[in-house]
Amino acid sequence: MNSEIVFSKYYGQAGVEGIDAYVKNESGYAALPKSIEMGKDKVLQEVKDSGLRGRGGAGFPCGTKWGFIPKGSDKPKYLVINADESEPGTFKDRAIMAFQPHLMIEGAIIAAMTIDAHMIYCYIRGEYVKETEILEKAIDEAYKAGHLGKNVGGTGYQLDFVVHRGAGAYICGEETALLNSIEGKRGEPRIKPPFFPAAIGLYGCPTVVNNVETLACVPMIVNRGATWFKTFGPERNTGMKLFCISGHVNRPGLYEKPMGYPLMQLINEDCGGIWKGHKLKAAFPGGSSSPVLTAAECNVNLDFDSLAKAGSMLGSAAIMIIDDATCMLRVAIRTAHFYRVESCGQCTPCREGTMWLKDLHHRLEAGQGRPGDLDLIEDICNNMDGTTICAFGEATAWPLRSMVKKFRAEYEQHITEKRCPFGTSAHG
Amino acid sequence: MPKLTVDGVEIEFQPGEKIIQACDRTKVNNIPRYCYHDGLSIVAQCRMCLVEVEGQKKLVTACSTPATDGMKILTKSEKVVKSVKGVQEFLLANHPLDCPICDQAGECSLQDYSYKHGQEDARYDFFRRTFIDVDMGPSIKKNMNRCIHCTRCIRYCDEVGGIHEMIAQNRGNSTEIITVDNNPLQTAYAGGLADVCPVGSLTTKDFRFKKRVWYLKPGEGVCDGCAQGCNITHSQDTNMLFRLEPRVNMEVNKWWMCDEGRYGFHHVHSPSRVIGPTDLRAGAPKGVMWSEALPAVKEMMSGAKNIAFFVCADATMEEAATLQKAFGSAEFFSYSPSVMASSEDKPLDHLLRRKDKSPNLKGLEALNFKPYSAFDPKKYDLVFFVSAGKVRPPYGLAKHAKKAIAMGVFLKEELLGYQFVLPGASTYEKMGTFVNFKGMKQTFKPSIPPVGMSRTLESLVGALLESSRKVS
Amino acid sequence: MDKKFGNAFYAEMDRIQRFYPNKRAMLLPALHAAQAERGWISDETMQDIGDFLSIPKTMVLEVVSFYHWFKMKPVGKYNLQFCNNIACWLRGSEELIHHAEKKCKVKMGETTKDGLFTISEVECLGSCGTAPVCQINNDYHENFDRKALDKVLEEMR
Repeated sequence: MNSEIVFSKYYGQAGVEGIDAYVKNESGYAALPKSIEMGKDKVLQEVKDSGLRGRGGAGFPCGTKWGFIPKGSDKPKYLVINADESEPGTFKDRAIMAFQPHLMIEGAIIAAMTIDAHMIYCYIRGEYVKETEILEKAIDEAYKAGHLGKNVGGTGYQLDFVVHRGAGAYICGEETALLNSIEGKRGEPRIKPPFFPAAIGLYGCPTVVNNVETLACVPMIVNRGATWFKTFGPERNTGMKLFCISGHVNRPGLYEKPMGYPLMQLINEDCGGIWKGHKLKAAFPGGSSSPVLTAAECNVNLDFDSLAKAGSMLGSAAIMIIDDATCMLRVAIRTAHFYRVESCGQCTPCREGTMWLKDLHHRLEAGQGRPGDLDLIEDICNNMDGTTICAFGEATAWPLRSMVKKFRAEYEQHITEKRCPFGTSAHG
Repeated sequence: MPKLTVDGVEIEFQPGEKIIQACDRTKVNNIPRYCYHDGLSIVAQCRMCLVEVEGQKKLVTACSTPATDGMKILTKSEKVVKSVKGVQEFLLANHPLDCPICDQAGECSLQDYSYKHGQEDARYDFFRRTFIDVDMGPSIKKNMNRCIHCTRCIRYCDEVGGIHEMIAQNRGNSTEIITVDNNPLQTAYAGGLADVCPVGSLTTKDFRFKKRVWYLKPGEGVCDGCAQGCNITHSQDTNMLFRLEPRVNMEVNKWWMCDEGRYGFHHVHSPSRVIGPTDLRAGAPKGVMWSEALPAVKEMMSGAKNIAFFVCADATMEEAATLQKAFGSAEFFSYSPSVMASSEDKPLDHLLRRKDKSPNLKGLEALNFKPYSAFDPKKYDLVFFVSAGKVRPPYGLAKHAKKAIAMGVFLKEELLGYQFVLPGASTYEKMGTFVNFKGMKQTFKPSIPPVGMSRTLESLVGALLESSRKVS
Repeated sequence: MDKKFGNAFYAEMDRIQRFYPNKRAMLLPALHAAQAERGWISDETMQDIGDFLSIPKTMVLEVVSFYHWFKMKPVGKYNLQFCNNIACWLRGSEELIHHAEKKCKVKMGETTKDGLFTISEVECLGSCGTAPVCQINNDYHENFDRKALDKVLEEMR
């Protein structure tokens, strides 16, 4: 398995985020003039060939997305960076912005020029105050160095960049809700059709929304080529990847591995195994929106297709590990609570389903669960899956349904014993 | 013409139509919906109109999905039926069991679709979310507990009312639809919110608790409030008029009407309305029989050399023609309270309201009625002031004629100057035709028979002519 | 128009104005700047923002009430925003919150009588590798255990 550290070499160190360090340490801003020389079409082809898939959660092929922008349109185009990073368990984009902001900026500039955009918005979640400050400094540096502004790379191309802060809404990570948020509205997702961002996006104009990490891959693809990028990871799941591990491991944190790295190896070797001498019970492989894996199911490779085949998803590569001293129902409650709080409320199944699920889970945990509750939880999840405006319905249904199905006995114990079988301290 | 199939039935559709519009127009299927409304933007939020399209794994909303040639749609497949049942159950989860006290009962989409598409048992057994209601002003009563968050009201205020005054506050299951700062709704079209609200969350204060809708008999009317001539549905029970609502007419008012028109019918049953022939010659009003009034009026007429008819422009074309035919030697004037002639008329807002607050000025002008500016009451021995109750003759004008007779709908407090009141039929008590500002002839049907001892103008004129024969 | 905000607010608005094609799109940046200055978004602040951007107050309220970062009630000098989502909960955030409530003698969502501390529960802050995490005003406090909490409460009094 080929591997190379391309992101995290300098993470955690002081003073690495500046433009000088970027240029010196990471061949910073070498890809930009190269991409200008290659021209839009060759850059687009290179990104397509690399197999780069979006790292925000959906895993959609990046080059294909850029290709959706209509060439004949006389409307202005926009590149929007999705730095909302609110999927529970995810903290990779934060590291990129804190330690390698210029990598993201350079990738965004190349992307913008490829789709003919003259304006880049970086939508960063409001809580990332420190990262916002770092980013603003980096943008200033980029303007001063002529990588942004009226004359990008001396070509006369005009390109501006502004940071637009979010304000505490997970749903704004959904690309069309994000666009509404930039426009000064409630962060409510748009219906598709007709509001596919490539057709009718920001201010009604063709727009590409890319994740931070996705754009951070672009300079290296331009510099070192699609063929090089494809040496990491299995077919159709290429590149180096930042994996976020949290929960009951001895060494949680950010780990850079090639796509397709085995989950068990990550847990046992890199993260030092389960803490306190406990055993592995379950794992979320792709954030709280992913179907949970039992310990037995954790013998899986961490890439989009392998996890999909295993009945789950890679999502934002936010891996949360749960030990055997933990009550799964309590984990489900935290999950249900999150989706109830974050639902935008537009469509019926999500608005009502999230609340209902939260109430049901609380009732179970309080020892007042009824025998029909478990089937009801499953049925509500089924009625939310595939019926909502955006993927929030699935994001709620998939984890909760997977937990009630795979840990049904534990849930039933709560009903029959009228209390939590793990006692009051219900986690490890 | 492109075609698609719905549950095996082939229909033609117009390019650009959504699935739901194609189905509605061809009446092949009644796809349930809450948030979709022909006159408002599409949001696909309620998720009630989900249908299955052959070749697509996920269900799609019929309201937002464009129809394409060769599309095969299923609206009754197992998957669709389960999804719709699920949506219906979600909506009922937080909806209070208010039917026994809710005005919307009987014309409520939630009731109708529960019956047709819902499931029999209610599995939700938690406390429902509740709100303290915001007072939205004199036109509309808001009950937030009943709200199903279809957002038709928000879109209505933006797109029809033209004011961004109805908003969603908070998010998720805590979302509340409000106006701010306890402001009453500013729009002149607030009543329409009760029309678009599929449930009893927004109802009109005017109609509140007055009548169960299944007792109402609807009829096709035309509003007599201004020269727009909005098409309406009037509803009555036991010969009492209870409410007016807009009736769709894409050439005139589309789906809408203003509050002034909507609530402007209370003169019909007002206790102040004069509903029996009244003799005022001695000063104080004295109720008399028609058999007494008619000969007296006829005598007044035979003694008058110059007679004029001051016809308020809420008279119908038929009434005007009847008068002209019966009393050809008299002079005829038309009157609108806010313009001298229809040429002065203009829109008052972006939607429907007009400056000319009479429904038939253009019609009377077409019959060569002279304008109000040419009317000098002193010239005439006898003036008939004709009104259907909507357009009021200027108060006290009758005093300036030597003799004046009120013919039609008048209130007790406006009888200054009249010798007689011959009670007539309001717009809702007769059949008739108005000509609106565009020159469109619109005929309407009556809702109720003439109130009390009132008579239609045709009957009154006929009786007058007859009694003259009797006298001579 | 009267200047309702401080110079920093107007400087920020001037700086970003050229990036937005209409005033409404400046709403979130304006609210951030207003909250930075006034600590929270009051009814009056919403009116001031609406006046500044020439948009109706309704457009401001529907946004302010949607986004949880904008506070519609005043908060204490130190807003202790505890994440209680899955990863932090797995590493003990629930006990940490109970400890905070006991030490400050207030319940979740409340502010101490002296106006110093507010205890809030927030969703995932994006620092799961160093859970539990607490954001105090704008600053992340990672690997936040009881000792760290006690120390912070001590220092900030």
